[in-house]
Amino acid sequence: MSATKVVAAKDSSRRVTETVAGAPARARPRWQRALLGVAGAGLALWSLWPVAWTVLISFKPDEYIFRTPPSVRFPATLSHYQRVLNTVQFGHYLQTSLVVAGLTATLALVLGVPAAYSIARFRTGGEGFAMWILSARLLPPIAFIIPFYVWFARLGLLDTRTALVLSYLIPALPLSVWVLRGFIADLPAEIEEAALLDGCNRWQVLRRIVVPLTGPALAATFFLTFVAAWNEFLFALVLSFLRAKTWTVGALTFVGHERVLWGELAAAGTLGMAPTIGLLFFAQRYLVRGLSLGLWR
Amino acid sequence: MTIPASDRYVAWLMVAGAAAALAGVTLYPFMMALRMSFLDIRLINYLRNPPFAELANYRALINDPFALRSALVTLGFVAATVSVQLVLGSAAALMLNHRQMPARGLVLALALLPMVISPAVAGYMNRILLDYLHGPVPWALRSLGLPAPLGEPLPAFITAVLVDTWQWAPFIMLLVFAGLRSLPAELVEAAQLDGASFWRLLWFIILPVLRPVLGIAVLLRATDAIRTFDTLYILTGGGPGSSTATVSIYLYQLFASGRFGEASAGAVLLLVVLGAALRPALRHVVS
Repeated sequence: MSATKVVAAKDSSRRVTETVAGAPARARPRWQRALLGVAGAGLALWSLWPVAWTVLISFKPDEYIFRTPPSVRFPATLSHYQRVLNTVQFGHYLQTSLVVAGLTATLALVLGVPAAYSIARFRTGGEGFAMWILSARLLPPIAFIIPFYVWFARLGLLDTRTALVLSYLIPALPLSVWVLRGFIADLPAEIEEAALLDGCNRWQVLRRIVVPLTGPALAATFFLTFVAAWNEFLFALVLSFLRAKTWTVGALTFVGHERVLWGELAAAGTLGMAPTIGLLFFAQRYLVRGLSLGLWR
Repeated sequence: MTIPASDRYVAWLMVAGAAAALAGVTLYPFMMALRMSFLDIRLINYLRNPPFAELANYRALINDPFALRSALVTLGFVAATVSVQLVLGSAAALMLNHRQMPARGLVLALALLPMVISPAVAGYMNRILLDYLHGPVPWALRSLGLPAPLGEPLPAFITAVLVDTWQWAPFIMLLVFAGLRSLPAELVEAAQLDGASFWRLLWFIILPVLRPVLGIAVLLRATDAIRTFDTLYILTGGGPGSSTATVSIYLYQLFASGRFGEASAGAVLLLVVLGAALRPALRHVVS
């Protein structure tokens, strides 16, 4: 993802990006670019350093972790990872998270696309309905913890993946509808109308026209809902204990009352972070596009 | 556009799935919480028939000093995080948007990194960094004669705000950056031809046009700040004393100590207050 590519993609119609700075280019002193470079590097370092430090710790042998001043050079070890994966079944927790997050993101799209289309094209339910859907995203999860706990206990759904997926729909569905509605509203209706005249019904229009055209928005939505579910902690903490434990809660295993297994904790955190970081670099170009269009409506 | 009857049926069918799912996981639990808030329901009796308690739970909440404290802590936390993140995120977006910004794509991607980290992991990571005995940050601070970040109430609160900023200022940056990219060039050029300086440009042109985006950003971050739980729980568990115990942490503590009735009452109060406060904001966003 080079800088020139990003700029070129955005410059198809001349935008303000090139002129916000003020006077024309030739009057700009070169130190401005250097200053921006330093600031940019500072921003990147600020974002990176907790992550980098954690990854570093995950490979540090215990004796070096406890040493002050902290050392950057040390013999790397995989012992923390071995302990995390072998003795604690962390792999099982990661797998649970994968299934739950994947199901949540998929459901958010399956339910959200038709709903977003309906609201965008027909204004179904009016303002009140749209407001209600959006408001669900803003509610504090803690308020639902107690009823969910009692409800799922009575249904025998405690410690199940089903319970988690149902819980994660609360933020995922509104987000999905919100982003997709804006994107769909921007699509020219003529293509759909032409298809309708040719005899398609609305469902076929959805499947054959709208879905292919909203690719970037679908990707962005899937990414956002997946990441949110993958990273979720509170509901997993309360609703799962053994079979449906996700990796975020699983990492707590290494935080004891008396002592903390820093190396193992760092390894667990690194394993959990890796997929979302990878996905970020992959989906990054869709995020800006998907959000800038979806949020203006 | 007039909608034919056949389309109206399809329109409702299309929202039916999402609406039913959402109602199932929000409205029904809310009604459950409402009912439970009037019961003397606890960990020991929640699967049997708990006795009716009228307003006892609400009264207990109002009399609990920690309840009010958590509300104040929450307000302070929201105010601090939203203002800091708004300023820093917008500044970062302006910087990224600058014509002469080198390696824009790379810096953007790296700057967005904290957003995809689980808030729980942000809590874990910062515990590693800030641990009194083993962390690099306290070690560095100690050699400068400064207090440890998590040891006392005020530094802990500031640290919590900083950690939240680290994680979510990029969100503001992303929204503002997307908004800046959509600004019409003619507007800015006209102003520059008239000789506007950078600050005048910012204040009179960019900010007004970006107001809807900033509004959404503030709304989202404010509500997210109220919802914050993971990072605070893992980082401080409510802080030294209860200096970082927001409403979320407080309600969780009620739940964890088995006081389901009071926790339900708190949940109902929280939802009602939030709902009332959000109505005007939401109406603004939807239209």
